[in-house]
Amino acid sequence: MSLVTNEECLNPLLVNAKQKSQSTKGLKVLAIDDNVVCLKVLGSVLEKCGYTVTTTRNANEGLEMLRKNKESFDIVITDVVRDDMDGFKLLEAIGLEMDIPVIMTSANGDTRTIVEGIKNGARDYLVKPVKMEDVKNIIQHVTSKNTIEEDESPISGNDTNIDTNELVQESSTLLVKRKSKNSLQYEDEETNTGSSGGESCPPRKKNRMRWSKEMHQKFLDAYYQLEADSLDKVVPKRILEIMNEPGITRENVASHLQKFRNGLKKQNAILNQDSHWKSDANNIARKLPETSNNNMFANHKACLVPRNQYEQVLFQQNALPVGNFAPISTYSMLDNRVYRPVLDANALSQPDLKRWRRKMDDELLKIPHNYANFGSGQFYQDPVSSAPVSLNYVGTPYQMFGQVSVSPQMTYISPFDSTGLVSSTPGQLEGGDLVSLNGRGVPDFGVGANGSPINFSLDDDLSTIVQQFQDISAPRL
Amino acid sequence: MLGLGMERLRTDINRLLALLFHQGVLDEQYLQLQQLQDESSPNFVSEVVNIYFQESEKLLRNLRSLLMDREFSDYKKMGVHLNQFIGSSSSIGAKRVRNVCVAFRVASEQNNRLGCLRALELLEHEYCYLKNKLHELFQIEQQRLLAAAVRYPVQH
Repeated sequence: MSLVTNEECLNPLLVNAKQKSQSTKGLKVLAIDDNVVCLKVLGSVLEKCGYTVTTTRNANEGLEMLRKNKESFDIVITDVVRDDMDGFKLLEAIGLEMDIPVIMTSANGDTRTIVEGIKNGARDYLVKPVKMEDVKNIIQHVTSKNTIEEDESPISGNDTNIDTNELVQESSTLLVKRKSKNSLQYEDEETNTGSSGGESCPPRKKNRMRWSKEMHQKFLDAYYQLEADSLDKVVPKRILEIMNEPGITRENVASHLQKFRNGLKKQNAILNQDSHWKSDANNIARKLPETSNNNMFANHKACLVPRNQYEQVLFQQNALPVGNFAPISTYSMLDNRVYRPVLDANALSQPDLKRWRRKMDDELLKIPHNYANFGSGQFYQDPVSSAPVSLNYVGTPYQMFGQVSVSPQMTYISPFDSTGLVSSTPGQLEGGDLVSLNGRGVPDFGVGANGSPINFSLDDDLSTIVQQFQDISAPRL
Repeated sequence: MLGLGMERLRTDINRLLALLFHQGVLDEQYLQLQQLQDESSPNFVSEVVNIYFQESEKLLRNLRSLLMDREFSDYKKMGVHLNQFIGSSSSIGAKRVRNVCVAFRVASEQNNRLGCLRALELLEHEYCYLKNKLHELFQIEQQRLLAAAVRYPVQH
């Protein structure tokens, strides 16, 4: 907390020393309060501070006094909660009719009340009980501001720049600080200046700049505009010129720019962390046993890697949907062939994924018609041996087809026979029956969509694979 | 002998004040009041406190009559009274009374009649305690002043 003493107040106003001495001493204050006790205490406090005090309980009477002689009072202090007249209306009336600063007091330090008061033109507020220190500080603050405004135009800002949100923010921070029974935090007084709205304050204080949404948007526009030219051009000076906003200085822009850049860096760091994951995936994937015939699958490492930390958590909780991929049901399931998508590490970034997925969809659609495609490697099917392994690596059952999870113990539906005939019906998505393994741990290539059995002899590649699979005696887990 | 009496009186006052502060019945605002008392307003504290008593009793009567009323529903009015009470209590430095009032206000905002009744009882209790103690304080103060006056008799 920084209390400003009289001397500091005077420094910038040495020029108007005469006026200043007039304003602190012999100030004529009008105090209006419904409550007799509060009024008496307040009156006494003000007198002790050296001001000339007039007190009244009646708001109308107070207004009359003000109207009768406009010069008679320098400050009005009034309670906002009153019987005879709405306190806020009173505030407004005084503020509008006569250009006298009004300070509001209130028994409750409600944020809402404070904000209402300030919106209606209160220069400052005091929460009861009013202490001598508070009163002194406030009046000095209010009158010193007055003096400045008489001489110079406000340093920066005008009412329109500050939107209500900020006012509320400022008021509430002010309120929070006031609620602590310490003496006023003079600093906050500087930034919350009620009816004058703007951030005008004695010249010796630096402007505390608040970036409103609109201003930030302007800043962003300027930033991107400059960035389009070239990254070097993004300097605070140029941004300031483009923004063309009164009331901000180059320093404000500079610090904001710095914060913005830091924010960008952080974002990039997070993205890079993803790629860090990618490289991990590579390492892990390579640990999978690779059969010699994995040429076809060389590019496709079975791995399901979380793209970010959130997914990692899901991942561990077995809650991760099928590798961020669309549920397999979106692939045309024309037979009960399950194509568990396998990604290579490079394909982990989202846009690629989409592209890849689309490609895969297209390819899958071609399944029934052209099994030759199988050899092109676009249908990704895990080598059986690696399937359970990858699952083990993952440690979690895959969730295929949405809710259905397949355990590493895959149920196999029917033995594999060389003709490829399978007894399971295509297209049935029942829990657990999705992946059929034959006794040899070879996935069943079920019946084609058109019902015809798959004839492996048709395709050289296929038959090679099948051959190789047949060599495997048992599924490697 | 009077001198000794004075000392005793002074320590009594201080002890009582310390007790009240310790109990949280009074807070620093009361000290402010004392500071405001000077030659120009020698009885400031007692004046203010007496006004406070008068006002508070009025308010308490109002509050009780409001709550006792069978068809009571005007919580807003009660809120207004309470606001007054809070304001005056805080200006005096009557911390405990003020706190009870705040709780009372909360209950009235929630339209909680039972809560209000309880708060009213508590408020009356606290107020009575405060009043007694402050009276006691003023009595001792009075005695001390008298003793001081006697010590330095005015020569006619």
